Amino acid sequence: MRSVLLVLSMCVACDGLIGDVPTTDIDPEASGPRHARRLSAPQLRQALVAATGFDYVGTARVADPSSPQGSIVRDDAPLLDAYGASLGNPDYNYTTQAALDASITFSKLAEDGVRYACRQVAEAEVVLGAHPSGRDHLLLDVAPVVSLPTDEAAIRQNIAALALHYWGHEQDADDEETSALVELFRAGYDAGTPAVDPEMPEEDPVDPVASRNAGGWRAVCIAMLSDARFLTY
Amino acid sequence: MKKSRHALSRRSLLLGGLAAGAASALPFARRAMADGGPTQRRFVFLYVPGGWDQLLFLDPREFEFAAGDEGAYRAEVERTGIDTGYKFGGGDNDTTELYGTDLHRVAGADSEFFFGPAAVRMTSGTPTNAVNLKSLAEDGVPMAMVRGINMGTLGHEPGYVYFLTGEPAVGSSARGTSMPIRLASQLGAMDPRLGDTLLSTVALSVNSFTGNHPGRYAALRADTVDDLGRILARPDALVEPADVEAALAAYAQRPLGRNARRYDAQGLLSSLVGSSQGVREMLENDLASSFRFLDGMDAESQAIRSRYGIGSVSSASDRRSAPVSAAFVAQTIKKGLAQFVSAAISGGGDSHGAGNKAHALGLQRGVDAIARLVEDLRTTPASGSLGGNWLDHTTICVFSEFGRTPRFNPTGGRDHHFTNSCLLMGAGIRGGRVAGRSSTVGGQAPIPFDFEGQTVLDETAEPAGFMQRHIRPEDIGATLLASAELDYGEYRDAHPLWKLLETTPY
Repeated sequence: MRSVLLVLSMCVACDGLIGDVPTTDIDPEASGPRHARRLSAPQLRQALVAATGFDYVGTARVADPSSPQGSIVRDDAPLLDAYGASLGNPDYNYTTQAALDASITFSKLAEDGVRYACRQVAEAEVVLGAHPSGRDHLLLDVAPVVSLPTDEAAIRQNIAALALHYWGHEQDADDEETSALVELFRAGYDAGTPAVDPEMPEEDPVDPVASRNAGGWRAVCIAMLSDARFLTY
Repeated sequence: MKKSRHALSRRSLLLGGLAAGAASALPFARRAMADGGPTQRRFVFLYVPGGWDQLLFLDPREFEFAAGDEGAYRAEVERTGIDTGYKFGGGDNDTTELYGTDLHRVAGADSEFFFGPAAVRMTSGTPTNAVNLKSLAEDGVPMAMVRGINMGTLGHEPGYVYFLTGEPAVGSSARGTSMPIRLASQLGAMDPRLGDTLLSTVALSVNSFTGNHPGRYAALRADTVDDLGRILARPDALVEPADVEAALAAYAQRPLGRNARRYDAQGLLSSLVGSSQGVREMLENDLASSFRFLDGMDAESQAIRSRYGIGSVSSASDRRSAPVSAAFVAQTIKKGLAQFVSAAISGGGDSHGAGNKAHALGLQRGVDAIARLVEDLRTTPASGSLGGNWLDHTTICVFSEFGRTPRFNPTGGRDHHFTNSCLLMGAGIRGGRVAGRSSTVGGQAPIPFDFEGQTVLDETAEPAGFMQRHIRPEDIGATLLASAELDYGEYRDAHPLWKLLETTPY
């Protein structure tokens, strides 16, 4: 009974102490967040899939226990896995610690992956009109046909939605950063490059507006996913 | 227009406050920084996989060639337990036709400085290639040998990892940091710009262990030159129209926004912005084109293939051959891709059943490629303000994981042996010197070395004190660090081989 009372009295004392802490003087903005960490190679791969719905695949040699050599060359190899060692992956034999610093190697391979995924998602949602998953990843708040110069407000709205989706930031549609991304959209739109295979049969031509829109959204996508805010957490 | 240097890239990458590391410079380091030399030094590590036969290369014995007849030779084999077999070893072992009837002695060097048969291929009594390691040594290339290195292991992986890191492996796993990363880390602490190369470290078909050193020194690892080319280039399908690329570049170079700045207390986001800038410059410079020399029809690619004797490259093994690796190393140095380079130079591999001839043939291919690399570096002017040629600024270490037994096994080959050797060349090395000695009796431990006096002990003497012991791989690491006036204290109980360094009085 005595120990119970002792614990109770300590709790009361603690409560009083906490109550005396001047919590109103703590400024969360001034104290800042925790230090940023770079995405590891597996995190980057999964983040790209989550952001765009597409994995970065290509030709590479990958491990295959059923092969006599222990590895085979595949055309659909996940490249962020295949280049994992250069991206800082530990091999769990010699080291268990991932290298997570900034490096030119990481930036190059990450940007390649971003460009591949953005190309795929822009083609799917803007040109073909639907993402294979049935869920939009790029056109969150805008229709595929919405375009410049008449619909800049809608484009701004979607970029703001993407900022929240990709970076976790609340960003106003009339924010300066949004304006910079609108200019990127404009550059991609003006370039007007075909978003799909130019060898597509002529009887099924690409809608030129869709093609230009795809160029715009692809540029926005590349810029936002290559940004350090996407590559860190 | 191509740029010849990558200074801006390095500076861009360092925007994130890497200069903070300079505060940790060591006393040695400050001196080195004053003369501006070591931070510009390139280091090349050439790994000859499989365990080389030292009797054929760096630690040969001369008694067979001195013996008047086979009887005298056999008597010496019984006395020493060392069966060189160069001349009297029979069909699969007789090296005299391809490699001559004597060891390859280097004029003007220490009396012990000579190469074994496989160092120089001979045709009718003269070297097949006018440029070879012997001719290079006689022509003034600083070249030193370390003999009698005790690896303490007969396993490939443990030996390989031990030499790479200078720390004994745990099982077959590394517990240390690769020598190039140690060098990069210490030199980078002195001057974050290092040699103004685009990357710090590149490893071709060689492992690289970063340990606890900053990830910016981690190696770009590639299995083949082709892989490296793919990593350095951007696939055409992923390139946007020029105007869009310009807009993307402009966007990426904007100052960090308010939200991003809040997360950038340690400079990681700024560093990522800098490395992204480095990528753009790498692509603008088209560095990848410098590594397409296997298939390129341009004049430079053809000249590289000719210089290195690269013929057919139709098979996967052709594209990983010793000359290809050597050419890769040269391009990495000359084009400013990286300052610290590791590469595997195939040298015959792990052949337990092969006699002298087969082993020497493989080894000689590797040695020939190394000689071509050295010749390439010493005849190519260094870029920028460095002056001289590239070899003046490059230190090369050639090693394998262990040696092979001094006697033939029942199948006519040689098995693993823990006594090893290595070859050091280039900047900071005092040429014509030999440190260490293997036992005069085959199968025995090497002769201990007196690190204080920098001499080999008498074979019958008992080592006294911690400065007298066998040479070990960590001593090679310490020697390389000391060659750049760096702190070698991070190797536990390691002592430099001062007598091999040009700046010391030994």
